Amino acid sequence: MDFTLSSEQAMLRDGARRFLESAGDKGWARYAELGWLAAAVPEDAGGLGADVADMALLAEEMGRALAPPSFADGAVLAVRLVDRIAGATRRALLSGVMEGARRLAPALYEPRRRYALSPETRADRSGGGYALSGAKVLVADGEATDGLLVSAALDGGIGLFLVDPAGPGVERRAYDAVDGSRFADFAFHGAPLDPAGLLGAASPEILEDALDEARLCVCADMLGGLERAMEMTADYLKTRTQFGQPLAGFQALQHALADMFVEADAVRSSVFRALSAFGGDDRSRRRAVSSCWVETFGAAKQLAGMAVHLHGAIGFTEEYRVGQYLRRAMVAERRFGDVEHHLDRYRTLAG
Amino acid sequence: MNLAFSAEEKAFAEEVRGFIADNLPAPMAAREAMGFHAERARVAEWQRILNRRGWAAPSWPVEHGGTGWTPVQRYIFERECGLANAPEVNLISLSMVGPVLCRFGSPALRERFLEPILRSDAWFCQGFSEPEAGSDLASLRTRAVRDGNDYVVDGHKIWTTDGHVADFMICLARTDPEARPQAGLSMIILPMDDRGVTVRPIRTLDGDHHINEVFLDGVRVPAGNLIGEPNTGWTQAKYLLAHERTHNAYMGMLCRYVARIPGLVDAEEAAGLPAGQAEALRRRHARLAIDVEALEWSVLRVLAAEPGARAAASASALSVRGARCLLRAADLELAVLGPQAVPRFGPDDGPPLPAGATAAAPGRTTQYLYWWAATIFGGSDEIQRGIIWNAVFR
Repeated sequence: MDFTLSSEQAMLRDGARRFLESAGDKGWARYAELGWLAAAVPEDAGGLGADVADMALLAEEMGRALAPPSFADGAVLAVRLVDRIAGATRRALLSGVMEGARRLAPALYEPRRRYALSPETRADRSGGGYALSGAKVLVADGEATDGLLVSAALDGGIGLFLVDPAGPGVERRAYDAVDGSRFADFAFHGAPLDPAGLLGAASPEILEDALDEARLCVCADMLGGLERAMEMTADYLKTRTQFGQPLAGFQALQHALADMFVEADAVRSSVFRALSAFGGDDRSRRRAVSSCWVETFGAAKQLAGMAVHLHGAIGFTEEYRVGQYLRRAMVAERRFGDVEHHLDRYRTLAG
Repeated sequence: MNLAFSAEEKAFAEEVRGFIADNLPAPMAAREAMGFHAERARVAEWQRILNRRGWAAPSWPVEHGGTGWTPVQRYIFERECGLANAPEVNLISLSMVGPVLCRFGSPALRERFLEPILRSDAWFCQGFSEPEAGSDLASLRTRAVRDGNDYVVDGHKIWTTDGHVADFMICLARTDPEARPQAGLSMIILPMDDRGVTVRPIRTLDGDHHINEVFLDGVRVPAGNLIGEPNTGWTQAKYLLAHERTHNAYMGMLCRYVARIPGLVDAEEAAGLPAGQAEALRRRHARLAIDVEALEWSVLRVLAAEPGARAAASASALSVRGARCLLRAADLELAVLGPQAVPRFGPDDGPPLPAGATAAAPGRTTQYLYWWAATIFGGSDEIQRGIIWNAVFR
C-alpha cells in the first residue's frame, strides 16, 4: 500500500489549491478550461476518465477553499447519471457539461420522503411524449441549471428525464441554504416533455451507485474543510495573546486541538478506505461509502464547531471565515443521505 | 497512491488463517476469549507453536530469527491472531527486548538471550516506570553503579507486568547522575532470581494479578549485561517506541469484539431481550464497527508512512482512539449482557456459573476495567495529545 500522492496527483492538488485560493466562490466559470468538468467523464465520451481518487482530491481542495459545493452534483453525480443511463444523447450531454455549456442538476429526492430513491414523481405517456407530475427538493444549482435530471416512475420502472427548469408546467422555488449556497425545489404540474426527454431507464441501484461517487466527493470535500478549519484554529491560537501569552501556551487548548486531529485523522482514514473499495465488489463499495459518510459526518459538526469555539467570540461572527466550515457541514451532512440513513444502509449491506 | 491489499497480502492472510485454524488449541482459544490475563504457561505454549513455524518474532531481523514480513504483513498477522482468540504473546520479550538486542546488543548478549526468547525459555519483564517516574519517565531514580566488572543496581520499579513470572528484567537505570535526565540512562538486564530482587504483587481494579512492584536492592550484574554504550538508554527506548507504533490501536482485540458482539445480541434477544433494545444495541455495534474500520486504515497509514513527526502524531492518535474504541466495545458487551455483568468472576472461576449467567459473562467486566488501563499505559492519552500538539501544530 502506498498513501503518498503520485507526482500527477500532487500537481493536481497544488494547482487546484492555488487556483481556488484566488478564485473564491467565483471559480466555476473556469472549471471547464481547467478540465475539472471533464474529469469524471469517461475517455470514450471525450473526457479525462479520472479515477475516483483524483475526483476526491479535487473535492478536498474545494472543501478547503469553500468553493461552490455543487461540484459533486454537477460534475460528478450528473456525469455518472448521464454516462450510465443516457442512450442517444449521452455524448452530446457530456460534451455540454465538459465545455461548461450545460449545467445539469440532478433532482432525485422528493418532499417529505427523506432519502428514498424510488420516485413518486411520475411520467405519464401523453401525445407521443410524456407529462411529468410530482415534486423534487434539495436541487443544488437549481437556480443556475439549464437541465434537470429528474427521476420519475414510468411504466412500473424508473425513467431519468432531462427537464427544462424554465419549461411549461415547471414551478421553481429557489432559496438560500444554511451555508449560503443556492438550492431549489421544483413542482411539476403535468409538465410536457418530448420523447427525447427520456434519457433512459434507471433503477434504485443505478442511482445509488452514481450517488456513491458523489457521496465520497462530499466526504472528501468535508475532510478538506475540516483540516483547513483545524489549521486556521492552530494559527489563531499561536497569534492571539491573552493573560500575557499566546493562547497556544495553554495545555487545555493544545489538547483540544490534538483531539480535533485525532478525529480528523480518522475521517481521513475512512476516506482512504472508501476510495480503496472502489476497486472491489459492489457490496463492499456501497458499504464502505456509507461507513465513510457515518464516520465523516458523525464527526464533522463537532470538529467544525470546536474550531469556532476555540476562536472565541470572533469565531462566531459571520465575517470570520472559520464558521463557514460549520455551516458547510450542516448542509453537506444532509445532501445524499444523513448519518442515520447511512448507518441503516451500512447494516442492510452487512454480509 | 495504491490503496489495496496486494494479491500476495491476501494470500498471506489466508495462510495465517489456515495456520491458526490448524494449530491454535481450542481450549486455549476459549480461555483467551474470556478476557482474563493469559498466564505464562499458556502464552509460552502458543509462542512455541509459533516458533516451530518460524513466526514467533515477526519484528526481528531475519538473521536473528525474524520473519522478513513487511509491516502490513505483520499487521495482518496480529489482526488474524486477535480474531482467532490467540493469546497475546509476551510483548516485552518479543517486541521490545529482542529488537533492542538485535539493534544495540553485544554479540554475547544476543547469543545468550535471543534463542531462549524465541523458545520461550527466557521471559522478560520491563522495568521502566517508578513511583516518582510515570509519565515523566526521564526523572527515574534507579541507579546502576559501576563496581569493577559489575554494575550494582538499586531502586524501585512499579507497574511491572509479569514481574512475578519473569526470568529477567530489562531495566532502565541511571548510570550518570551528573548528566541531564535523558542523557544519563542505560538499559541493563537483571536476573529476577537475584537475592536483591523483591517482587510484590499489585492487585488491580480488574480483579486480576498481572502487575507488580519490584524492589532492587544491590542487584549485582556483570557489566556486559548493559545494552550498548553506557548512557544511551534513552535512544534505545525511543527506538522501541518507533518500532512498535501501531500496537496500541489493539486492532486484533477490536476485530474480536466487532466479530462476536452480533451473535451475543442474537442470543440475548432469543433469551428475552426486548426487540427494541436489541435493535438499539445493534446500531451501537454498527457505529463501533465503522469507527474500527477507520481505525484499521489509520493503522495501515501509519505502517506505510516514513518515520517522522507526522507519523508519530498519527501513531499517538491511534493510541487515543484505540483505547476509546476498546472501552466502547467492552461497555457495549456489558450492555448486551445486562444484569449478567454484575457477578464478579475471577480468573479461576469456571462453571458452574451463578444462576442466570451465560458462559459469555466471565471475563467481560474484567476486560472492561482493564481497558481503562489502556488510556494510561504506553503513554497516557494526555501524553499522546502533547505529542500530537508538538508534532503537528506547534
